[in-house]
Amino acid sequence: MTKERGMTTGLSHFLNLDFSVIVRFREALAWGIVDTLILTLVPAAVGLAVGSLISAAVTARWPAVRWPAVAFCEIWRNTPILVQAIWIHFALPIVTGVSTSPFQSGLITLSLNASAYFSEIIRSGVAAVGRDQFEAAKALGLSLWARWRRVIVPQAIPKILPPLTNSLISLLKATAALSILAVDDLMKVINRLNSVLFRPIELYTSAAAIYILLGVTLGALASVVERRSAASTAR
Amino acid sequence: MQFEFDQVVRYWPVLLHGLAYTAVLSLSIFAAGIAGGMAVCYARIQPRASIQIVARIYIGLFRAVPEMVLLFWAYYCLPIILGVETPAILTGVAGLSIVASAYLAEIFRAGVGAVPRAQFEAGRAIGLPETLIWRKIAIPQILPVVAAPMVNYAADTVKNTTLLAAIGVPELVYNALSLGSQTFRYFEFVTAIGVGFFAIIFPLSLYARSKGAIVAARSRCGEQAY
Repeated sequence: MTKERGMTTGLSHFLNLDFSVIVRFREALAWGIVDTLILTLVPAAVGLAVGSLISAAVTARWPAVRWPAVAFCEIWRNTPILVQAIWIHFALPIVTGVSTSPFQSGLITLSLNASAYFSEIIRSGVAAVGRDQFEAAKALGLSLWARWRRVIVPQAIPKILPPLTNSLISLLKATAALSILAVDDLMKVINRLNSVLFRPIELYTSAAAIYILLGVTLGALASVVERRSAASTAR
Repeated sequence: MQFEFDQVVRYWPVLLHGLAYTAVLSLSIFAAGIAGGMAVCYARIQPRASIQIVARIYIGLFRAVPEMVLLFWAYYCLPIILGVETPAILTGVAGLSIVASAYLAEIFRAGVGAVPRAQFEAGRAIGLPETLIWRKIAIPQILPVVAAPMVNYAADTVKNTTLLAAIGVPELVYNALSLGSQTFRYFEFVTAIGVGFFAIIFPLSLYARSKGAIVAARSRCGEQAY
């Protein structure tokens, strides 16, 4: 009780703030956070897999493989994510005949977007390893699998991880933009609560804090992975 | 399936109006971001710890919060805190300019870092005024380093303006969506603005990439990067 009274002094009292709404609607907010995390982590996983394939396609010798991959990357990297999401939501049903829920559209959009961004990071990471390493591994008579597994990938990973972490946090921030499609992520939950409660200062400040916390947590997890992989390459 | 791209031709003036908004918004946000970014960068490189920490928090905070959250915050909270009605377009431009200033401050800081500290000291040693050291020694070396990331951020600024649709600013996305809801031809309008955005953003990326490659190649050769 004393703590609550402390909070209603000064500026809080002047603006008549009541942060207890965050506690009262913690369940709705928790579900919003879960959706936000799904919308970040699933596209990140898809982006890693598809992005690797695309980075291979972008560097392929055959133009028929290379150009579609390059076009995919350029289109997804050079248009606003909001336009991409709206396009996927309204155009995909027309082209494929299958309607998607806003959440599914969001998931597809972010996955394709992440694939394009991650492929560029993976491509430049592999390119930074240097041609001589490929040639030396080949000269040693290593098989194609061993060349990649033992020589190229261990050297590329430390170059890929830091920009990948940045990209992951950008992805988290991008999920907030999908609320315009009525995806039930944290941003949308906050907007809904605000339209009923009209406590914008408490709600949006908390939203900012939660997003920062999520971003910092993802960054910290990524740096653990970075340290682990650095340790394993050093061995 | 049937496409009616003649709808896009028919409502062309509405899209053009949105495009004008997008252009003016992008330019004013970018210009305000440069001015603010220079100020924040200047604070960030001060030796005084108290000033530096404020700049650090500013940069860290506005790069970490999603732009959408910041825009909604400004849209709903500023009128309560300031006690006056603030138009959506003003809060939107202010919000995105603050974000731009945080990102550009970091870009400028990297540029300042590319100038050897000894050159500032040499300038002071021969008695050059501080403004002259910046104008004649530092900035000519900073510009080529920051050009590529700045143009890249200009592309991001154009992308960010689309978020203003969420608070009702009638830019390109907002107009395309309202035309879509009137005609039920979302596909045509959204495709049209997608092509439009690509036509604006892709040349910026290409320019940044070629500029960045030149700077990287020169610094690889051990040459001064300009």
